[in-house]
Amino acid sequence: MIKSEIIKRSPVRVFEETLEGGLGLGNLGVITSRKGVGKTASLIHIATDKLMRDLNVLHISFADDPRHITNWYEHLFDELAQAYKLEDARQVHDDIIRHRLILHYKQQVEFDHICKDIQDLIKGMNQSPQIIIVDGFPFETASAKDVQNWKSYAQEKKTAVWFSATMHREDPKFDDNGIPFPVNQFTHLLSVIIMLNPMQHHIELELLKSHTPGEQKKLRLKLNPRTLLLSNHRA
Amino acid sequence: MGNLRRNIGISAHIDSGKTTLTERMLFYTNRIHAIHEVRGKDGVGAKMDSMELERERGITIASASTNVEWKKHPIDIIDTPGHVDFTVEVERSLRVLDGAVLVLCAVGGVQSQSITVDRQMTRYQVPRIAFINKCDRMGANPERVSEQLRDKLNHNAVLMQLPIGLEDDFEGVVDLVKMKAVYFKGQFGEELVYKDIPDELLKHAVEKRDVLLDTVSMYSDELMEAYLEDHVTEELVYDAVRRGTLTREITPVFMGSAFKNKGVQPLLDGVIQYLPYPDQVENIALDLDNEERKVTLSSHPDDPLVSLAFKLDDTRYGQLTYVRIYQGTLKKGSEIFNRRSGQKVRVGRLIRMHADEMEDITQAGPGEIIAMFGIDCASGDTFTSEGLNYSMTSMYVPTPVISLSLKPKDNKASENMAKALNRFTKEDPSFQTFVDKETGESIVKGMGELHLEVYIERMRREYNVDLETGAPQVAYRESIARASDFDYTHKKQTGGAGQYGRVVGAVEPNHETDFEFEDNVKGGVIPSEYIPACREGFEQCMEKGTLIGFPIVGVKVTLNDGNYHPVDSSEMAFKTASIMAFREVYNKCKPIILEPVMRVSVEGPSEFQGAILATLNQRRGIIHSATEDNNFTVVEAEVPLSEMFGYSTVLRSNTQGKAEFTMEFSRYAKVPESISEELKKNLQKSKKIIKVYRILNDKEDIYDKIRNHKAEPGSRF
Repeated sequence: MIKSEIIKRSPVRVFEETLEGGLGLGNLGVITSRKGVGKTASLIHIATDKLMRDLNVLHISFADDPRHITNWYEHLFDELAQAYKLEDARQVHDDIIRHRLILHYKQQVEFDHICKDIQDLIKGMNQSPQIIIVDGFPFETASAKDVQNWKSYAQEKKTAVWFSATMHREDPKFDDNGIPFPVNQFTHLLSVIIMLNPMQHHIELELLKSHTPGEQKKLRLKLNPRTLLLSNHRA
Repeated sequence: MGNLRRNIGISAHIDSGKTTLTERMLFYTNRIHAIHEVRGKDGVGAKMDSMELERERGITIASASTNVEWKKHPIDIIDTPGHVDFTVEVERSLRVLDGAVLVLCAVGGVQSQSITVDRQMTRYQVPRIAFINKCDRMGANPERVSEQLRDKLNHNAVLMQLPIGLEDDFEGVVDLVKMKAVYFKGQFGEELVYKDIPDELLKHAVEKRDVLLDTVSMYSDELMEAYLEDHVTEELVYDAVRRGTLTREITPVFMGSAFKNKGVQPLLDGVIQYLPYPDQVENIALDLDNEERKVTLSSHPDDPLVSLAFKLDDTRYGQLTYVRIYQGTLKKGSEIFNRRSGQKVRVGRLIRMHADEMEDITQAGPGEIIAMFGIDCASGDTFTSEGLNYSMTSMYVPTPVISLSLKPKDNKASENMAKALNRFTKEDPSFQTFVDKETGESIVKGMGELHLEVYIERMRREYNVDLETGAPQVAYRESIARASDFDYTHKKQTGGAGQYGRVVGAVEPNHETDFEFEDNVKGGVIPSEYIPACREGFEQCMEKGTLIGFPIVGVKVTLNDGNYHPVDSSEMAFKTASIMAFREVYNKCKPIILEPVMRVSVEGPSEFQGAILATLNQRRGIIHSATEDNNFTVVEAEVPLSEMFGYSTVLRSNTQGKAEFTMEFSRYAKVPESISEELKKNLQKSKKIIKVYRILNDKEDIYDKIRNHKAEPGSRF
């Protein structure tokens, strides 16, 4: 199979269809779950889909070591290449990773500091990110201003920003709209909220908030805990 | 003496001061009676840097072994090179060591080269202790460096000491086991004075001792109990730290300033307290009579001998071979067997080395590192007693990625160059040499610019070779991107015996191995005696591709069918048929050029992050990540080697000299189309020049033309 066919058949298309075009530039989205369920894997699958489409991805991590994150991307690409029998996989791999950069912070830093770094990256690499993944963002301690800063940045720079958020408690608290803590404090700033629910043999992606208010559509996506790939869910 | 001996390496970043540290160790163990500095004012240079070039550059190139004694413990110290281009030397040293001291700079901390060296130590499972040197320097912060050991190298670093003052005020260390302040008095710090811990440091020392006890009590139930009941003894702590260190679960951290003669003796105590003696290390050999089955060696002096030649040195008395004995006893005058060459050799002079001075001995036992004279062997050879066909595990040898041509000025230089190359290639498996059949030039291959540069410089100085060098060349490869079938008949019947052979099959990419040949011929359509000739023909084609004349890799050839003639077929005919078949099919297989890509790590202040990224981006680099830690950024990237020539100068000028980089071979990757075309054009030009050369037979002139021409493709200096 060639690259364009993989893009066409990607489960991320289902995701975009449900979200009426995806997260969209200028918007913030969150994938939330308890620790170790598959937030990073889901975000990396979304990011890899963008990379396949030659879009620039900036992956910011406050938690994992960059080698660890690179291994995630490598693993996911290998699984995809194998599953879809991708032609000339090595070359495709080398081409797409030119569009990816991992920015790792060993400690939490101010938003302005990150902005300056991103500007440096744009200048140094001569390319702007079209999607930013912020893995390990401290929603629990963040203020509305912190999230608002990201929202303004996404709008100004015309980029989409995906966050991961950990629900720390074994028995997470939900608000009246079914949004779990700590993400619920920022619902008004977030365009899309997805929760990962571990089932017996797979992990289900549940759409808690989308661009359209009211009752949310079924996402029809699941995460395979073995391959850590997203796939269409025909439950 | 078995459990008293220690074989240790001193390994670190190039400017962390390990040669100075070794020099002090020699002084305190009474091996030398005066201290000379690296690049010292007295012009003598440090003792371990015995080569003139090392003294001049202030770096250590070849590892030298020396034997010292500290508190009745014989210690063999191997001073290892610090630059990444000499990793074979580092790795070879690590192979024979039982433990190591990782030297770090209290100012620079854990830098990229430390990471490379540490990765190598992990590969060879070497337990280590750390010494944070240069505590007297401006900006010294040993506790931060200890944290970096945890963060960057993933060590469970445990502070054994705390500094008393820092920078100009650095006076000594607090021993967290004895809970005493240690000062170093006398002209050369040779007199240790123990005093009470200064009041202002006491609280911090108690806290850090608690951390130490908390951590190391995990490795000793006795200590855990004593800690809870508050009757901890020094011995219990030493024992627990030793246990944790031997299993590589903790790294005890010492500190000081070798230059200011502070902290070296406690480090020597640490070496004998925490690093293993030879019996405690499991050494594995391969039984060559039993399909290389792994065998654990006994470390017993009465068992048959197993020893490894790990370093060769050319002295004015002949070749000196450094050997580590794993099992049995090596005796002067005895006969031993080189398992690689199968030769029996008699042990002549047996010596124990002290930097460049030697002491004659009559025998040596397990765990000892000694040297032999008059043995002809290569580095990495295993010597055993008769009847024991064991080989020590083969060492990892990286692929050379850069080459350059050498042209000696006259016959004498040519002879000397041959001698030098013979020695260097024996010493260092990552340094290789061959003669280019077309140009007649001697080519050397190695791991980087500096690697080749140093050997060339050594040829000039040590062997008086007057020579010119060509521009460094990248070791490209050719490969194929698609499969294709072949059907070729080689037929020649022009009087006398004819030639006939037909080969039919397929050529396809195979990235698992360089070359694979599958014989699928059924029913004897090609008689089995001609199949090896077919294989040979295809294999010969792999030596030089037609795109740019570099070796072809990643090819599988399957022979499915063919035809023969009862009279005219021969091995030669089938070999020719195979060569012609490959030549014909190669272009249909979409041939591609591959280039070596290096893993590059650049470190520098975060303010230069953009500049660093730009330098890599401009070099066709794939930037993987940028990690920021306290205003310091490490950028990891992959960059084609051809783009890395002269990078250090560019990096320096773009970062005000504040960033540095290391690189090592990562993989081969396809060259972009535009560069591929440029390389092909250059080959055509080259061919034309060689043609002219053959007509004119004007060797001198044509050498210049070839050299000038070769400087073109991607060789930016």
